Amino acid sequence: MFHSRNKKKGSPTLKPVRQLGASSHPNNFSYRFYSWKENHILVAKESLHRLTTTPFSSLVTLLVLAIAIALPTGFNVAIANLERLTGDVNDSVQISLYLHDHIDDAEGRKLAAEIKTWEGVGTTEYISQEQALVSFQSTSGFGEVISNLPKNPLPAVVTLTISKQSLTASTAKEIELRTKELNSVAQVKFDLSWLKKVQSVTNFIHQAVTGLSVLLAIGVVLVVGNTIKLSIDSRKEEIVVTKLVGGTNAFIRRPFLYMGLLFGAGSAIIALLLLSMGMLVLTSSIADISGAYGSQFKLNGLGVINSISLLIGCAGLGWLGAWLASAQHIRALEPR
Amino acid sequence: MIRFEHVTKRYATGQEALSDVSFALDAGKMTFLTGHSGAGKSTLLKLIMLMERATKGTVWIDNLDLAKLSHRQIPMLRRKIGVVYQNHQLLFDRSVYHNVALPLVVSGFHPRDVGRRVRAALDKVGLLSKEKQNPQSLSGGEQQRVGIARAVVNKPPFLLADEPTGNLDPALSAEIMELFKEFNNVGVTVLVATHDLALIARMPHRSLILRDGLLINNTAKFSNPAKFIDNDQGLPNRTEDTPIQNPSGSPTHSTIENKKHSASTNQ
Ligand SMILES: Nc1ncnc2c1ncn2[C@@H]1O[C@H](COP(=O)(O)OP(=O)(O)O)[C@@H](O)[C@H]1O
Ligand SMILES: [Mg+2]
Repeated sequence: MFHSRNKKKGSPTLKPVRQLGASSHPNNFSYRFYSWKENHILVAKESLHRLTTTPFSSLVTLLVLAIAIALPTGFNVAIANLERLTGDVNDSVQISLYLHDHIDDAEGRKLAAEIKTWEGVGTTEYISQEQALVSFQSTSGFGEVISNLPKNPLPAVVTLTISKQSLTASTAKEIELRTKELNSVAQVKFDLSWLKKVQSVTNFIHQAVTGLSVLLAIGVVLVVGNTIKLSIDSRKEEIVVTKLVGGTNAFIRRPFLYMGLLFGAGSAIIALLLLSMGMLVLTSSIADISGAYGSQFKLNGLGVINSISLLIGCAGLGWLGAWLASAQHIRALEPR
Repeated sequence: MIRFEHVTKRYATGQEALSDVSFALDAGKMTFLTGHSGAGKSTLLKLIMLMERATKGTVWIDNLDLAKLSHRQIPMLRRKIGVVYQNHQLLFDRSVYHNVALPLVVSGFHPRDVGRRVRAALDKVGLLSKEKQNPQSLSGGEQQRVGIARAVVNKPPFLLADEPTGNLDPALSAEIMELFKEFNNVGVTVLVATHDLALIARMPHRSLILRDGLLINNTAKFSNPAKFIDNDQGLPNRTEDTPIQNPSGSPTHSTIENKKHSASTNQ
């Protein structure tokens, strides 16, 4: 990949040095592959060794990176949990359709069944005048008063809930408008602005956390890049001598790229540990709160898939930081 | 074969380190490059290694025009050329073994072959017993021999040395020169830059003599370079020098012209 640009005109016998090089002697493929593999294993060990030669500064770098990674990841986990919580609330968002007096039970039930087939509608229920009265009498303190009235003042109602997957302010609005066109409906009751508020707040939090994640990802790249730059500076002599004996830039860059990879992956692991420690602390207190409110709510962690993605992503960021630093600084180091 | 055709090197500072230098070294020959300090010896070697590029003229290694080599082809060139430095350029953060192994590792040799070749090279310079030591713990002469082992470990066809005996006493210097002769005996083309004229005088090899960037002697059998260097009074100044370093009808010069001609007809 470092040598995709191939040779230009001229140069009759010299081919550009490949990743592994060695044109004159180790020519056959399996030999090359074997020593290439050996070299990568060696280089990986060497990179690990380099990290451990300066244990304190490596550890500090790892912790800085881990915090930079744990912060947005923690926010994302918190948002996911918050959304589940508000999702439970949203589930109970209902539109109540108060029907005209002249609509009888059969028509009411038919209407409820029809609305249920609309797109975006979850469940519907028909509540007759009698049912409404019974429920009103049992829940309110005005049972006596109502039963003394000459006529049942409560209308029949069709309630509908909006299915969870289509619960956005706009589909809710659409459904509301559609119900208002129905002849048998006298009045529609639904507080849309509340849903809008909740959604705009969660959208804002989403954007803020995304922005923060991007910034901190750039931070990870820069911190790793700077660490690699320092490491390159401390190995100037070795790099120059390696160039003198025919080492390619790719060969010299390799241990630094591995170092970046290790920084990224290592800090992701520490970040995951920090997160699960935080989860452990929060879980017990949340269980107390949930218990007090009779809720089933439980805190969800990052999950296996997301953890692995985080690990790979951070390793990639570390690699990128190392690549940027080494592309710039190794090329500039030439034997004089 | 190493060939310079009207090569001029001017540094960014404006300093002209080499002026219109032409010569050819045949494969398998050993040659000395001499001249006062600042004459341009190191510059000449750096042009061969592509540590610097010629301002004018052409440097050929075998049939390669170095001006045409791209940046990423330079490592391939350097693997064909072993170099020994006065300050030996050894790494003190690793053992003698790993210093010598470096050219093999960068070329992608199998670890098994690396061990065999490193020991063969160390054996050749008489340091097999010191492979595990840090080069810092060795004497100056031993360090230079480690440098030589590293230069020859991947059996390059060319061996360059820049003042390899600069820091050594006469006996050690003679030993080092003996080593170069041995490598030359097995077919390696050797070019040694040195101002140690006493050493050169004892050896029957051709010398190239530089003075202020000019090649003032280009004959195959020059016996006493000291005549040109030791006595500044005896030296003609640069303008008077011109007919000597640029003899219009000199055989060497016409040889180069012929070769250049045949090279261009080949293309
Ligand atoms: N990198 C450089 N930049 C500018 N001038 C240089 C550089 N290297 C060498 N020179 C000059 O070029 C001349 C030849 O130097 P050098 O080739 O090192 O001579 P030698 O090896 O024979 O002592 C000297 O005048 C030196 O100062
Ligand atoms: Mg010099």
